[in-house]
Amino acid sequence: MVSNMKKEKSSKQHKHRSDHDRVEKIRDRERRSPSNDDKSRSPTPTKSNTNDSSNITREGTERMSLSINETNKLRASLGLKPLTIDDHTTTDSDTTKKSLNSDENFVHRPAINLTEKKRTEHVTEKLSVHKEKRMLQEKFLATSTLASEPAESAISWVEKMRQTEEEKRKAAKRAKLLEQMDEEFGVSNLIHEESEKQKQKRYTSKNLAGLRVEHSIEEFKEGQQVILTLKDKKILSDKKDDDDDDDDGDEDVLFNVNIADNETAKERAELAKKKTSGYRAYNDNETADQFGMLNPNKLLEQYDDKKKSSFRLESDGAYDMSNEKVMDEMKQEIRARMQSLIVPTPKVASEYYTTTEMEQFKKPKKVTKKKIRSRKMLKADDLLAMDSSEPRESSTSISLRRAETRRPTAIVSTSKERPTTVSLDKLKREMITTTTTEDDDHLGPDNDLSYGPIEDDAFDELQTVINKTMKLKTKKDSISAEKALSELIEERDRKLKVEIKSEPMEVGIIVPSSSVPPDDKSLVLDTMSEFCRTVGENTIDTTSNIPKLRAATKIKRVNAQASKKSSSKTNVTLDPDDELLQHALQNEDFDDDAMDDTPVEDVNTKPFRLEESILAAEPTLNRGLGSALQLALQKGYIEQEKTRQNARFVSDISAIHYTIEEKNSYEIDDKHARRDRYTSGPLTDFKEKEHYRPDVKLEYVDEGGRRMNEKEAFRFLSHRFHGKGSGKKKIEKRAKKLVEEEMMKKMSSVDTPLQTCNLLKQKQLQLQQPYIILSTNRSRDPQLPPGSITKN
Amino acid sequence: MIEVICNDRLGKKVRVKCNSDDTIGDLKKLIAAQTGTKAEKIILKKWYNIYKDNITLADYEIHDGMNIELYYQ
Repeated sequence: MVSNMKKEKSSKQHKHRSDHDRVEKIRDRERRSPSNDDKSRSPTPTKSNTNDSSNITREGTERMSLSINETNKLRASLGLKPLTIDDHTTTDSDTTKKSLNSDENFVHRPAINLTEKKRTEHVTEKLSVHKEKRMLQEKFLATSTLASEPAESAISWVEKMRQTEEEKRKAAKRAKLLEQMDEEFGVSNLIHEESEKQKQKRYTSKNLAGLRVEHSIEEFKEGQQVILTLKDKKILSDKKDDDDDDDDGDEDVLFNVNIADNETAKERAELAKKKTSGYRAYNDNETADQFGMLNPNKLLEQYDDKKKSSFRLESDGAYDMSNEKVMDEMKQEIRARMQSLIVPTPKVASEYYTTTEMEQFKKPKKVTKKKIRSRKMLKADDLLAMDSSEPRESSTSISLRRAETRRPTAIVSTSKERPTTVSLDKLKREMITTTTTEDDDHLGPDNDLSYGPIEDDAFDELQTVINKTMKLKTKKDSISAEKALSELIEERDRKLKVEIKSEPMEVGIIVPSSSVPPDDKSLVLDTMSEFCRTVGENTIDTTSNIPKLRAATKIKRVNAQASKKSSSKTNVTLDPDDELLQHALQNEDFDDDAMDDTPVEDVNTKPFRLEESILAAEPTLNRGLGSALQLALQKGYIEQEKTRQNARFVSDISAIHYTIEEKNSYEIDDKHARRDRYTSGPLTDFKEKEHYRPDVKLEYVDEGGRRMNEKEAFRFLSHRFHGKGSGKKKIEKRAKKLVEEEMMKKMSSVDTPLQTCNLLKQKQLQLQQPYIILSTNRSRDPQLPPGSITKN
Repeated sequence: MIEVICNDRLGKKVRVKCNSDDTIGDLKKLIAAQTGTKAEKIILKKWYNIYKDNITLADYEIHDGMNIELYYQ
């Protein structure tokens, strides 16, 4: 047993050993065994090796297996029933069945064969079509065709038609007869009534008169369609005599299920919100009623019956909301009148003034009243005066007024004081006459200055006075007048521009606005010039410069690219299409070689490209696919991907040897992270150093210069590492050892360590005898023990 | 009828034909007959799972061609 246990243990230990040894051993043993023991084996009738039909030798080993017959014999001897021989297929199928559905084996359904599917569909379609055809044909067969009918003559057909007519007539007669009979019996009235009743039974909204709707009117919005149903009623209405809440238990009540549900939901929500249902000591949510009255304290209001708001439909089945609206308005009024006791929350007073409060210390500017031209001061007397005195000035006055409206407020500012008694018209004329002296040239063509100076003494006096005042004013406000002038100029220019723009503009030609006289003081801002400025760096004053500049850019581009690109691109004579092409292509190139182009070129080339592409004639598509593509690119139909070069690959400096560390912060003490830190080196040798096989000999040297072997070297290292060496005894031991070694080395190889042979030789020499008597004390004195030596 | 392979990793590897409804005890007898040991001495194991004598092969789900470890008491 013990040995078997050992065997077991050993078997367990060596389970991972390769099978080769074992197999070979087995092979050897088995090779030996059959040869030796075939005859001398113990009489077990069951062993037969090579004649076994069921023997399958795989690795060359002979397995001990029995045939079925022999097994059956054995089983019989043992008292077991014989082997049940199933078909291997069934057993296999069982196993396969088991294994099929197990997790390891998946048998997928075969994929849907699309062609098969199509074919079957096609076939089914055809079948259905045929079926339908058949059905139709059967129908047709039922009706007789013209050909199938017997050939009739016209006479017979006519007769047939007559017959049908007669039948119709007869039917009509019969109906009349019946009616007559009905009349006779007085049944017709009844029939009429019935028919009328049928009509009457139409259900209209009038039928709904007087019904009660159990929702508040507010829940119904205008234009909303709500379906109302009859509310369920109890069959036995238990009507109590003292119960007055429900007016009519028998009455039908309309309601909408959804609205009712909403109401119940709201109620439940309210209940849920109320934390303490029931008695509330402090009535915190005291709200005013619709009429401004406070809600009375309700005790145990959860037990009160819920008051249901309802309204009653009127006679025509509708409900008039106007009353309600009136009520609502009243409510709102009352609410507005109510004063709330909410007081603005008291704030902490700040020690510093706020900015708003600081403003109160600002001195208010003296706002001198601008006397706007007092049209209002036109009194009835003035009007009369106007009408009587100058009837023929009406047209001019109108024109003057028009001119005046065009004048900006600058004029208004200049006229600050004016005697009010003078008629308005004259005043205006004064104004114009005084101001026209200054800006005579700048009046537009619409201004009508066709009036002549009217000679009137009073008028002249007034004029002189007014002129003086005007001059005083203008001297003061000279600066503002200039501004006014500039404004005037601008306005007029704008009008001019409008006129110019109305003329048809040619494409490609930019008409400069030369009509504006460059004023020394004023800055002419012109929309066209601004636009052009933003478009092109160089002012586009003359169209002639444009082709020159184009050529210049072309040349520049050529110079830039001559070194790099082939000469095919540098065609001098280019059509606008090709130019655009070139521009587009060069655009690409510019993007690619961003480094190479000088910034100066970019500045020059970019605006022109834009300008050309915008203002040039649209390129035609008769040049081929390439130009079409370029056009599409230009217009933006195709997106052009600009390949941006990755700086990492382009730059000259690059980090070749680097390691990315600290991606995941592992601890130093982490065993498993540490594992690879020191152990994992290059797993394969360097390929470039394949033929380098150095002969390395590591020699460790002691302090004294002696060569150390590995063991000693390691000991030395560990002493150094731990910082402490061996103890005293050990050191002595080692020292002794070293001494002994030295002695060993010094020892003569021929002689004993005590140099016996040498001594003997010397003794021989001394005694002059070729022999030496080895004597002990015993020879002299037999009593002495044999080992003792005495000096001689 | 299934065939079970019993291996004791020391040289004895037998293929035993038996029924699925045979018990382990019967299998042990068969093995003993084939290998020349005593049936009581045999222990059939599958990685620390000792097969008990009174349970059938089918219950242990021992199918055709399965290897069983052969140990001795």
